[in-house]
Amino acid sequence: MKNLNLLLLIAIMCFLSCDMETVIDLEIPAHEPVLVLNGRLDTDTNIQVLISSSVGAFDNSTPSMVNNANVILFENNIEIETLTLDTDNTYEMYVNDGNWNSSTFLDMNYYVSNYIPKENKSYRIEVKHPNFNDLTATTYIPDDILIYNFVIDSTSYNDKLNFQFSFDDNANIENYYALELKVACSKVFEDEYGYFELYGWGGRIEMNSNDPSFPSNSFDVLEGGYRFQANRAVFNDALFNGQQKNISIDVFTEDFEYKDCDTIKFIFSTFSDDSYKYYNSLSDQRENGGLDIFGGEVTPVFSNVNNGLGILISTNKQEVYIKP
Amino acid sequence: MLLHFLKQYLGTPNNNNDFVDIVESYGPRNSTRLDAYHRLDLGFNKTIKKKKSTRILSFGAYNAYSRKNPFFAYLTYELGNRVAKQVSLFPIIPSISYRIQF
Repeated sequence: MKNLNLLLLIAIMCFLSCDMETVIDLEIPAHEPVLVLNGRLDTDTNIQVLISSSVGAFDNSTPSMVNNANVILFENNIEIETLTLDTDNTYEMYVNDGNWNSSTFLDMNYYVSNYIPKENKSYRIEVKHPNFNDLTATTYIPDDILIYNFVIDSTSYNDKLNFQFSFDDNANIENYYALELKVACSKVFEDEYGYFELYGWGGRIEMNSNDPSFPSNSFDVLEGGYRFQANRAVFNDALFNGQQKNISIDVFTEDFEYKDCDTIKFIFSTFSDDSYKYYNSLSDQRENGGLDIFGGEVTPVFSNVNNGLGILISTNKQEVYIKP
Repeated sequence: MLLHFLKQYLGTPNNNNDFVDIVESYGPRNSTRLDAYHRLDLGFNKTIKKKKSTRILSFGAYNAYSRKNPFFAYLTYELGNRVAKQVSLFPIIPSISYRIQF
């Protein structure tokens, strides 16, 4: 009998050990929602921020807006005013789940202020709500940039225009810059039936450059021998801190004729390091989109919000009109 | 098991987009931990002495309480719901041996 029990025990153990690999569901603890602040302050527009609440990564629901928060604006630590919810303007926004597979739309209302932020000042936003922890975020709007020595060369090349300008970098702080070229053009042409038609186009134009401060888009040399080709250049002052910086941009004229455009302007922005870290980390996380926390090293999106999530960024945008 | 990431909106005002992104916040580095690994291995020998030899009968069990220790974890979807799964190897594994020493 004793031997029989022993044999039975061994048989049970053998049976249990047959299944060498088991997959089990992990228990996910419930998440406490936190406040999310999203806002971009710039020197051209009044202040608008979005307040929403987060949901757990395993919830099927989408985050929702928080429309009864107390949102207070401070400038250089002095209280300016309390932002009010703009219920007159509701924006229906498509919610991108990262793969554009979502079918969710969400009505959003901004908390607004008529106050227009100024350069060279820091701004803090505090958000209070009885159901959440109080949240704060601070950002700094950099000073204006003086652009000089602006030169347009439209004669040296048949197929491209060259723009050059200079500015002085402030040595005391880390500076971050973004450069775009925007146009509005129109052209009258005769169609195959002999009618004259007006064709208009506009938007951001692709810029080409070999400036070492511009991020390289590719490991290979791009068309025309450039290492940078994009319609937006985001760069910092690591290679020219405190010095005069000369920028040279080429634009191919295959689709862009200088004479056809009524408006040509460079949009040159300086922004805080928060903004630079935010945009770069967001781009990195999007590129690693296929990974999850167990699939590799994910990139957290930068946040400067205390006791919550989101981002408060700032830009000082200057428009340099070449035409008119 | 602690999973520490949240979904949040990244709608930034004034950018003239008609969409907002949802991003995930993962929390600080190493804030997501797998379960602890532990197990109990048991074994005993029964020695029988004979005239010209010694016989040793051994019984053992690896992972005696069949703990499902984490080998790796992954995220997947079931019926449209995101779930986290854990793969475990080696439940209780019994062993038996019989040795004869001359």
